[in-house]
Amino acid sequence: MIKTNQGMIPKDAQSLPQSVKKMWLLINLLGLAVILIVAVVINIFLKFDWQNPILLGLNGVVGILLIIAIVDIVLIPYNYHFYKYILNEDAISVYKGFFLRKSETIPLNRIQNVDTRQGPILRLFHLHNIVIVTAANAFKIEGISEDVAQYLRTQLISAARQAREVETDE
Amino acid sequence: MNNRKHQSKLAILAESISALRTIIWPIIFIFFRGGNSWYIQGLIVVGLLVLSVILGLLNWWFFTYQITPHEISLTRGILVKKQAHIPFERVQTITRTQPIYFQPFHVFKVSIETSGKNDDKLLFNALALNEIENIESLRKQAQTKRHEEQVVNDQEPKIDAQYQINNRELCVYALTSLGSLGTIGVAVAILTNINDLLPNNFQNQFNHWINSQTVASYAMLIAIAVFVGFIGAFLRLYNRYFQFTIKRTAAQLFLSRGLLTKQNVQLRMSRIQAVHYEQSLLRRLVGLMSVSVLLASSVSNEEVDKQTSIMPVVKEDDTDPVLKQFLPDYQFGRPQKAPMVEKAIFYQLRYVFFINCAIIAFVSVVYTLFKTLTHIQMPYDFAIMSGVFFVLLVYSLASAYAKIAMQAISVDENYMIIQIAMGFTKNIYFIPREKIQSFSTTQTIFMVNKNGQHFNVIIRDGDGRRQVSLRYLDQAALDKITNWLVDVK
Repeated sequence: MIKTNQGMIPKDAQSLPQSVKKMWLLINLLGLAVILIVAVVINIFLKFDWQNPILLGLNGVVGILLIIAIVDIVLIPYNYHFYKYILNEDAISVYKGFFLRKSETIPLNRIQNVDTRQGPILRLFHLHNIVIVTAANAFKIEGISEDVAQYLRTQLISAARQAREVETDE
Repeated sequence: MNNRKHQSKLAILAESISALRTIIWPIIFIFFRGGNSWYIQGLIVVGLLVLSVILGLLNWWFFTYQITPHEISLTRGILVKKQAHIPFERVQTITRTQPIYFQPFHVFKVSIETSGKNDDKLLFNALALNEIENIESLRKQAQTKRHEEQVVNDQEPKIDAQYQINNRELCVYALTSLGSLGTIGVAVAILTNINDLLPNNFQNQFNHWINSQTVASYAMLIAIAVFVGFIGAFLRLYNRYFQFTIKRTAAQLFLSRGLLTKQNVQLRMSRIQAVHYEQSLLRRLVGLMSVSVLLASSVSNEEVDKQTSIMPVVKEDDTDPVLKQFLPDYQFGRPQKAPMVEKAIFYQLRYVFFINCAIIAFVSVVYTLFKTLTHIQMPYDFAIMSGVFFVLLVYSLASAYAKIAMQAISVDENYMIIQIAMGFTKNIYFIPREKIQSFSTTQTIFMVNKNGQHFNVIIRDGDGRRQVSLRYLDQAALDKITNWLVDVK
């Protein structure tokens, strides 16, 4: 039985490894640094002339981006705590959020292929993104540990292979 | 390997026209800067034509194709050579289009599509009829299972079902189209642009004439414009769907249509992702439906006219039985009212109301800021804005009501039927279970106690996705549906 209501997230749903929190923090801090550097460069370039409406507007945008990045950082424990995934015998589901809740489910026999991806930051934390592709869309489980990623991938692929209906026509 | 062929020579014409289109814009700019004598202008025109013909010729010369029993390959490009191969098994739809000036020569524009994702399709500008038939029969061979081969062998394929559009229904369909408003918009845009290009004295005369008219004659002018737009839209639709015919042989569908430009599509039924009924408010009054199919194809959805209409118009009562002949596996019933939480209508109305309030507040604040900063005074601005806001609010509340009232869903053994409203247009989707790629549910924390969820089903459409959503479904009923969805056969 799949329960779609996250109020009843299945008890055996998996959390992401703890190191994901550090990774999200690092990504957000890097983002914050980039925004700040860009802001300083723009201000130097326009000679800190705060009367200039263009600079005022740009600084406003930078301010909003900064607030978003900081809110993101503050929300890391929240996002982490309510991010769960579960692999059942016929479907894989991901659950997100508490105030705004979302669950996504892919029945295993609709899976076309499964990719694991690892950028430099993920590599630093020995984490992988696993991307599950259907004919219409792709959905991602962010930051799971290496052996779990391998395990999931082989599970998903073998399940998908078993469940794949053979397309016949004519 | 020297049996590579060129397209029909008519392709030179098509290539030249498309070359002309790409180079004409900078030239027009130079042209209208003025200052040149008519002699130089004439020279530019002639040069432009010669250049585009040369480009067309080159493109034609470097565009070659080869048909082997197993695949079709194509080479093109003057400087950068591009090659494409498509094995016949993978061909999914073949579309041929014949503009009126191609008709005496028996050549067609042909596009061959697969279900891949990266726009992989072959496009021919002009291909002779016997070549197309060759391609179609090779494809049929490649896609026919071996044990059926003896049966199908050589004889004319048997037509299992055929349906042709009824002329009277087509007229009603074209008459109830709202496209006429769009046509008027285009006409107005062209007129205002022409105004700038006309000589000054003529413009003055025109303005003088306009200013000296009475209200009555303005009303006349508007009525005429509406009428012309209406006729234009009518002719456009009538031309496009003239003698629309759909045929089925075994698991293939053949569509043909068009008065001036004839179009012909072959598609495999297994590629159909969902069947889509559509009925606007106006068409509900006259009892007509439109039916299209969502296809998995390699062409992105942005392309115009991508929706594959399999019955542009049919009487509402005839829709199910007629369609059953072409798609015998589908179950065409009407879904039951969606199992929603209590007071779902109230929640939806409240949600839309709050969204509207937010938009109105935002616009008002921005407008007030703008007004105080720039000191620009607009007459009657308060009245105009109140009116606009009122209309917006009434429209969105009414459509929110329609959305909830029309929501319906049912599942049987292999099919899901969903009915939703977009604006006031009724949409019904018939989706085979294995074509539902994934689904998601969302809810806010306020809905948790009420056991309500929004439900989204994702299916493939073109090379992208389409999401069909139902709002405020009851938890228990939704659990049944999702279990049905993940149940592996």
